Amino acid sequence: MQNIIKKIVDLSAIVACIVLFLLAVLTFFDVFGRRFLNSPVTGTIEIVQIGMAMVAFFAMPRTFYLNAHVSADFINNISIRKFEIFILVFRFLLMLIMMSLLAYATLLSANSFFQDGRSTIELELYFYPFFYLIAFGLLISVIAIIFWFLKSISEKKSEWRAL
Amino acid sequence: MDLDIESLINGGLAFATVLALMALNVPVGISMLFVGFVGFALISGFDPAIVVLGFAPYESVSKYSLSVMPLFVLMGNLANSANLSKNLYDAAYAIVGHYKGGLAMSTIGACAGFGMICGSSIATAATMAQMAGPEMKRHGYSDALASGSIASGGTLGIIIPPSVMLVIYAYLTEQSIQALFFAALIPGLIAVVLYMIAIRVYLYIYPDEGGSGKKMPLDERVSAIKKVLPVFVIFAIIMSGLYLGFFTATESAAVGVMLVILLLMLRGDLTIKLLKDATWATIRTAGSLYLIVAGAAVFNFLITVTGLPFTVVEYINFLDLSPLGIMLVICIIYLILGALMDSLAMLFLTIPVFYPVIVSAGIDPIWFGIFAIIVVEFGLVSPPVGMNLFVIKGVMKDTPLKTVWFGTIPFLITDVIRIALLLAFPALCLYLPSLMYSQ
Repeated sequence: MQNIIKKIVDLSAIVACIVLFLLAVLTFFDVFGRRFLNSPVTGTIEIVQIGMAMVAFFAMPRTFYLNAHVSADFINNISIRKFEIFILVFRFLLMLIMMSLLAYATLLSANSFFQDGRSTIELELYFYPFFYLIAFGLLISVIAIIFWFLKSISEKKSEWRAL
Repeated sequence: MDLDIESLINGGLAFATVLALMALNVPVGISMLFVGFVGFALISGFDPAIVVLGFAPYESVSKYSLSVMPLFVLMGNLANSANLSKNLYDAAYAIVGHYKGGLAMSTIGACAGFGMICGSSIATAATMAQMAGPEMKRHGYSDALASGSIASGGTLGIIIPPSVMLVIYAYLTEQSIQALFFAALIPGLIAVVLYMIAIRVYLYIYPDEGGSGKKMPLDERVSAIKKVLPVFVIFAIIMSGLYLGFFTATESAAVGVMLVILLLMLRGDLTIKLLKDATWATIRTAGSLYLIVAGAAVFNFLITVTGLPFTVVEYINFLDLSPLGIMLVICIIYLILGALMDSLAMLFLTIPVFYPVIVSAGIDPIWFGIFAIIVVEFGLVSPPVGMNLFVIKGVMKDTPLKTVWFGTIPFLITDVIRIALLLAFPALCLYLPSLMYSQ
């Protein structure tokens, strides 16, 4: 199970890596084409905007999995077991609830875009497939949060056993 | 005067809750997302709050101007993976290494050079700590001077363009990234000079805490400098392209990425592993940054709905504070917050409230951006949450945190001087952007 989840999270990060790199290449060729060949790549801005959203939401699962967040860690030195567990559970619940709600809200947006057929102006790309993908990325984040919590609990247990 | 007490209470409660959650170790992005969502739901109802949650995070992370952020991070990571930082350090050493305190000054020079291709303070500090730390210790530098120069030199990463912090400020205030980059150039250079002076003064007071390195033969010095010339060329292409309006900030970042890749290819350093490592590290940073961006989008929605920024502006107008008085108040708030929270969180939390205040007081937003970034730098080297302190401590494990912090004091004093200079001579920031606009 652990390996499967890790693979899903890694796959999501790989998607983000590839999209980011392709966006850099696309933007470069857009500048090059516009300045030197008088032929820019049509719709670059729209692709970059949607692509960056993909990068953001597909990069997040790995952040949750590795617990690589920006956070204030000045209570990390408090080593009272009950307090540590409280903080861990509190963090877990808040992250789980918020990311689940975010996934749900994005799914609702995707449904609404599907119904009204909204698209980008230049390339006329439908928004809804991207929103479904983002909701999927957020779902992976939820799974990563659950896994991070289970891993943290087991690490804490073995840490205490060793003491 | 009639103060809108309700907006003050609602807005104040929102800030207090975010701070409380952050104190409980909840990630900054989640804290803001939670408070923004719950607060908005309490004011407007659950359904409107879900609608906001469904589009505000997407809207914020897909902003074209913000896409510059992961691209500049990628550029820095590519350069880091290819050991360009080592070349920068060698070149700085070739120039100033043989002077008293030369290794510490080389560190500052290398940090400034690395700042030209990397927009992150923490990345700059971490990279330099691995290289310069052991080297300075080997040459008998005190722990305080060695760690202090690296921690403070690291802060150059966020002031010397391209800077992720400046991009975030531009995003939050809808200012021009180009103008901010140019506005940061002179203050960045002043910081380098002042930091080097601080090292000399420090060694004048404590002469035993650092020495001088071996003077390199001329051909070795030229060769070391030659190796980093491409870094300066890339920086010059990015900045001149921005200056001449040849490309936008996002495009400049993409061009920077491709130029670094080209440079690595020409040096024979480009491998699939290097590309993978650099993008992998970038995605890790991007994930945590974008989570904050998404959280801040929802939180700022709440802050706007509470009307807090307008109430604060009204209150400041009522107090009839001079622009200098306002800046001093903001400075004090930043110094207090800097000791409690991460600089990124500080920027996201405070700018939406401070920005209307400074605009209403007639303070130039570009100038304020540079001022805010410099003050935020204090937070990076202030206990208990100064990220650079922990980064240095992580690498130089034998050095106590207290010593690292003590070592940063001379540099913090020069930061105060720099702030005073900016307050006295705003043209230090605004001259270059004004030239750009006159083009």
